[in-house]
Formats: sequence, structure tokens, C-alpha cells
Amino acid sequence: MKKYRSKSNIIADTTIVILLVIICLATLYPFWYLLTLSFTSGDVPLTRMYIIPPRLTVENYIKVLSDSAILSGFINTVARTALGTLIAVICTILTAYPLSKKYLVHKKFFTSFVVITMFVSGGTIPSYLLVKTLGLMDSIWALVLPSAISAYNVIIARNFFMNIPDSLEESARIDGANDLIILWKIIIPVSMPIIATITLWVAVGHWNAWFDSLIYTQTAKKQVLQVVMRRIILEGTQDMMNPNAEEEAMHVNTETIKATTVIVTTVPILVVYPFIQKYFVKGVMIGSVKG
Amino acid sequence: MKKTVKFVLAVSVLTAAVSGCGQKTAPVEGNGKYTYSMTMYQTGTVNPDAVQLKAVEDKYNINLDVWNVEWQKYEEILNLKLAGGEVPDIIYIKSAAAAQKYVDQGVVAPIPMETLEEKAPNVLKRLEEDAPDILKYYYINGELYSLPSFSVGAGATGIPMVWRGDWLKNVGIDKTPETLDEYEEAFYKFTNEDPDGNGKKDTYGLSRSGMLAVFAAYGYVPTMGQTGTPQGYWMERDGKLVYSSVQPEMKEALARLHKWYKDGVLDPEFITGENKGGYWAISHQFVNGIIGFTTHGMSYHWEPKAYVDSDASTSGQDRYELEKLNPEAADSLEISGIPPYLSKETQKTYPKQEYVRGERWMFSKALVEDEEKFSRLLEIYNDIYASKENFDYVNTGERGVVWDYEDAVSTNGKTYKRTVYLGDWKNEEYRNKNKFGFNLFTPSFPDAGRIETPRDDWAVPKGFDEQYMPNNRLYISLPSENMYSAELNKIEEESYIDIITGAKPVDYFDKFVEKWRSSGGATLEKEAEEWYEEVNK
Repeated sequence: MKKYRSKSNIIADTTIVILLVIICLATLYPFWYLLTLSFTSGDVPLTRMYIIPPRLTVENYIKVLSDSAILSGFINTVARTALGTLIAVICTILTAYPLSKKYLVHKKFFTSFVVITMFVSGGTIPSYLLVKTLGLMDSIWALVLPSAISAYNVIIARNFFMNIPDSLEESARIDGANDLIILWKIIIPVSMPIIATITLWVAVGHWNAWFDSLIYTQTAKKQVLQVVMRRIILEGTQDMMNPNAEEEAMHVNTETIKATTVIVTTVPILVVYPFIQKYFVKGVMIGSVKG
Repeated sequence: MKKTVKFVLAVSVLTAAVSGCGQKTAPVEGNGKYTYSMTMYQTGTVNPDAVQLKAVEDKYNINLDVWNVEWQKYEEILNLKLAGGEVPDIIYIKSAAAAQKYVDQGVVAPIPMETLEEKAPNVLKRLEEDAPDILKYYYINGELYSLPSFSVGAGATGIPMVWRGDWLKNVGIDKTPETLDEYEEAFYKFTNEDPDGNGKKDTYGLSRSGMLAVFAAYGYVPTMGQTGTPQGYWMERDGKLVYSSVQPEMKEALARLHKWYKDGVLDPEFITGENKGGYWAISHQFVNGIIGFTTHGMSYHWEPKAYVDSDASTSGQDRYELEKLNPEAADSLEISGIPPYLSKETQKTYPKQEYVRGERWMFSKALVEDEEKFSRLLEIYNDIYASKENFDYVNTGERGVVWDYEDAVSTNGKTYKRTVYLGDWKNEEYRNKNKFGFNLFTPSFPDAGRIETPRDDWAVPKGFDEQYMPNNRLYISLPSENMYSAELNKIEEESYIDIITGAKPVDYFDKFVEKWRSSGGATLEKEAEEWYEEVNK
């Protein structure tokens, strides 16, 4: 069957395609710029822009990847992302599932209790004091426990669970399953989209987080990758410099090393996306239909 | 109802428990070995097992607990720690405003002058040699709360006037311009006579930083045109401290700049500055051959590499970028530390900038009150400043083990004593893991003899040892500065740009001055005047 296309249809389509291509390029260019810069050799003039730089090298990568701070930062970030995501997903599901049940006693109260935290937060200083008095300072727990439950994720997950027909649960109950078995054997298998979505959100959040590590971690070896990256990137910017240390201004990391560091810290989390993408859209969509 | 009461009670008990956790005092080990906790300026982190740290600890039989507080978020994180009751014994302070705050909060204690004189005469002696009377700027509420942090080591440096020598030659100017009129002539020729010889009219005389030279010719430096973090300049006029940007001379300077803008001599992109990202001191407009004059960065960003055998990338960043793009242009650079003047009579030098900074050292109340522990620290400082050997040992490492002097031939043909690292210390990663850098400030040690450097031999003949550029004479942060400065800077920036681009007539300057004063500027003027009288009486 041939599709009929009017003239105005074609014009509209062309405009949309051109516009989207431009937006696409505008989004991709900064990434491309960093990628090429990371492969650029240091003796290329850096005040000019290149689509492909004249001299390519992998020296920057050798230098960055052999930096022990980057290596330990990488291990710490992977550890916190894995542990933090595991804890967050478990906690979120265990909180959201009961909240989605109509027969939960005081359901309204508990739900509003969760929602209130989305509007009122303790602030940095009380959070710091809490972590400190709990004795979590300088450990991985200070990075994963405070962010174990996000109210937003709980609400999204709750909405998803509410969409699962009650009869599914009832049929299991007739077979003699208790609440935990129902959750484990019935609900979780049909909830993979929302679990994947929350996993991705939390994992990306953990991967990119740096401020908590900056304030809760004192030992240099325990700092996460983003803190190491920040230090390298910010070196030589006006804010970072001490006017007393004029000599230091002369010896800072070059732009190529900075770009390489950015690529090294960003690409690992970027490659996760395509694998979870298909669940992702579904998860957010389904979760958002009903309130 | 009862439940609510119980809940409230539980919460308040918890809160009390959390806030009740008070300061803990640093432990003292049996043999009188003190532990000092401290923060400091750092670009990386101090490794607790650093060789240098151990060396200092062993030399003075103390323990040092260095807190790694990231410099960019320094005050934010330090405030968190203070709120949590963790107060380091030795506190590095980033700004004068923070110093005032810690005094008000009672975190720090004044340093008794008698103790300082008795225990650390060498520190006072070094201060007297390099920065006489500097301590008077560190008094808060009539008491000395901090010791200064500064470095004398960097040699002669300043804001550079940088010309493209090849362009000057191409437009037929043999002598580097000196007066403002000669500058103007060169700028017009750069714009109209195709200095880069590509047949296109795509060059300009100057951009944002070049305006600094014009303002300087009129004797004052406004916030506009400064590189990096712009700062309002307060300068002396008839014995009083006045704000540069509102001086009547600036009106004349703006009129000239407006004319240049109208004639296409001033780069119309001046509003966004010459640096287009990356390292702050690089002037992309100049390096890419769009403008022929700049004052961007500091003199050492334009300095050639010091030694024949050093890597090309050790040239100043701007020069290095230009060398990669256009080596002949880099060789032809004409650099001077002397800004243009209107006529020979108006050319003058200014008093040198004092080493007064926001950065300083303070000492916690707990430390100062523990007299013995504090005295011990001052004795250690006294020993560090007793001689250059001691200072180097503590700051960089032992000579002959960590570093030494070596003869090296400079690009200017002379041989100098160059500082080189030895053995393992040559490796940058090893150095970063094992460095420490304990000191208060870096003095010159005149008694140890002056060591000649290629930098001084390059910069002194260019006039960088004298202060030809107008400079800021206000060394503190004014009490009301935080309240007004953001708004005032905005007014200034907008008015200046409007006048230069012609959106407002030049006479608008008088209105700007009025607006500036009524928006809080008058309060700052009064405070600055009072402070100036106070320190100069």
C-alpha cells in the first residue's frame, strides 16, 4: 500500500528531520570534541577547533590509566555503585510494594509520610552530623546508606505495583503463598521494567556523585572516581589556584589530559544505557499512567 | 495524642544527643609527643604515609594529622566540620571574610604577641625583612588572630603588555609603542592595514584585556578588562582611598574606547573576553591572530622556556600555544611591564603590592589555650625560619636527598643554578604521594644569598620589578562588601559595556557614578577610607 503524502506533509517532515539532526549534532558535538581532544597529541595547537585533530596519539590514555588515583577511584566507584544500587533497589521495592496495597492499615498516613520528605530535607549540616554520629565517616556506608531510599523512586515503583491486577496476588494466595513469596515469585518477575528503571537511575546517580565522597571520606585512597576527576579538571582554573603559589600556575595538567580523564570516567556508565534502554522507557511510561 | 507527645520527646532527645557531642581534644601520647591536626592549601591530597610528612614529624617529634579538604569547596567543607565539632588545631583560611566569621564564632583565639616574640622571633624577623608592618593587616577587633601566608619566591612578575612584533613590523612601526597615542596608532594600523597579510580585513587592535592598558594610562584600573576573577581596585588619591571605576579619568578612557569600538578597532567580541575555555590565562583571540595586543594572564604565561634542555611545553602557556601555531610570531613578541602613558610627566610608579592576602593561618581556641602545646608549635615555626636550610628541609625536603642545585644553560645563554629533584623524587607520581609542604609563608632569606633565575633576568629589564601598573591598595574585605559587591559589579559592567558599545552616551558615566554610590558604593567608600586611615595612623 502506498502511503499518501501531501506537499505540506513532506515539508513538515523535512523540517522536523533537519531540526532533529541539528539538535542531535549539537548534543553529540561536545562529546566528540572531548573524544578527539583525548586522542590529540600535546604539540597540536589547542586554541583551534578540529573535527579530526592533525596528530593522534594514545599517550594520554596510557598516562591517565596508569595514574594510581584514577585506578583506586575507579574501584571505589564501581563498589559504591554496585552496593548502593543493590541496597536502593531492595529498599525501594520493600517500601513501595506495601504502599501499593489497598488493605494496608494507615496507607494514607504512610504514603504522605514518604511524600513529605520530597519537600522537606534535613540540609547538609544535619546530614553531616547524622553520618558522623552514626560512625559512618570514611566508610563506603556513608555513601550508600543516606541515599538508600529515594521518595521519588518509591512513588514511581508504587504506581507500577498498583497497576498489577489484584487477581494475580489472589490466585497465589489461593495456592497458599504468603506475602513474601507473592512478592518474590509473582510481583518481581512481572516488574522487571520498573526495577531496571530504578536500577539505572540509582546506578547513574551513584556513578556521578562526588560531593558526599568529598565530605564523608577523608582518606585519599577511598575517594571515588568523580572526585579524582574533578581535581584533575579543575586544576589550573582560577578558583583552584592559590595566589601565593604562583609557581604552580605554570605546571598544570594539559587540556588533553583533562579530556581523557572525562572520557575515562564517563564512558563506563554510558555503555550501560543501551542494555537497559528498552526497559527504561516502558518502566517510566507504565509507572506514570496512574497516580 | 499521647503518641505524638512521645514522638516529639524521642526526637528532641535524639537531637540533644547529636548536638551534645562536643569537641574532642587531640590525644597526647605518653612521651609528650603532641598531635596537631591541620588543614592547608593543597592541589592534591597529603598521603598520611608521605615520606616528607614523616620527615617533618620525626625532626620535631610531633604527629601531624593533615585533613584533606578540597580547595575549591574548602570553606563549605570546613564549615561542615566545624559545625560537627571538629576543629583543626591549625586552620588555613581562604578569605578575610571567613577569618572574621571564625573570630565571631569563637572558633579561633588571638595569638598573644608576647608569646610570639618569645617563642618565634625568627618568624617575626623574616616577616620584617620581606613585608614590614604586614601584621597590622591581620588584626581583628584589635587583636592579632592570624599569621600571613604568602610567597616571595616567584621572582619579578606582573601584568604584561604583549605585542605581536611581526605585526608591528608589517604595518611599518619600528619602535614598540610607549605612549597611549602611539598605542592608538598601532591599533588602527592593525585593523586597517592587514598586518597578517592575508588580504582580508579580519584583525583588530585589541580586545577585552587590552582595555586594561588604556585604563592604566589614565591612572586607574576598573574591574573591567581584568583577567581571571575581576576585583574592584581601590587606589590612593590625595591621601585617601578611592574606588577606581568611578574616577572622572575613566570617563575619558571610556570615550576613547567608544571611539575605537565605533571605528572597528576594538574586537566586538570583547564582552565575552579573550579566553574561550580551558586554562584561564590563555588568550585565544591573541594566539589565533585576531588581535595584535593583549595584557591577558601574567608575565610568566608569556615567558620563554627557561633552559635549553627543558621541554617546549615549559614555556609560558600563551607562548607555548603560539609557538605551536606560529613560531615566528612567538619569537617576535614584544613584552613589557610598563603600561602606556599619556605623556612623560604622567608616567609614574606605584607602591609595591603588599603581601597581604585573604589566605592566612589561624589557630583553634583549644590549641592556643593549651599553652605548652601552642608554645611547642611556635618553637617549631621558629626553627623552620631560622635558616634557609631548615625551611627547605621542611618545605621541599632535604637538599642532596630530595633535591639539589645543578648547573643548567638557559635559553638566554647564561648558566644558572637550577633546582632539580633527585632519585625517586624525579618521578611525579612518587612526588605527589610523598610531598607535604609545611610552612607558614615562603620568605626570601636574603642572608642565604640571592640565587639568580632566568625569570628575573628575563623580567627585570622589561620593567616587571617595578610597579608601573596601578594596583589595589585595599587589603581586606570591607564589612559591607558581601552585601553590595555583586550588585555594584553588575552596574559597573553594564554601564561600561553600554558606554563602549554606544548603547549609552559617554555622559552616562556621571549617571553611573551616581547610581553606583546610591546602590551601596558610598558605604564602601566610607569603610575603605576609615580602614585606610586606621592602618596608616
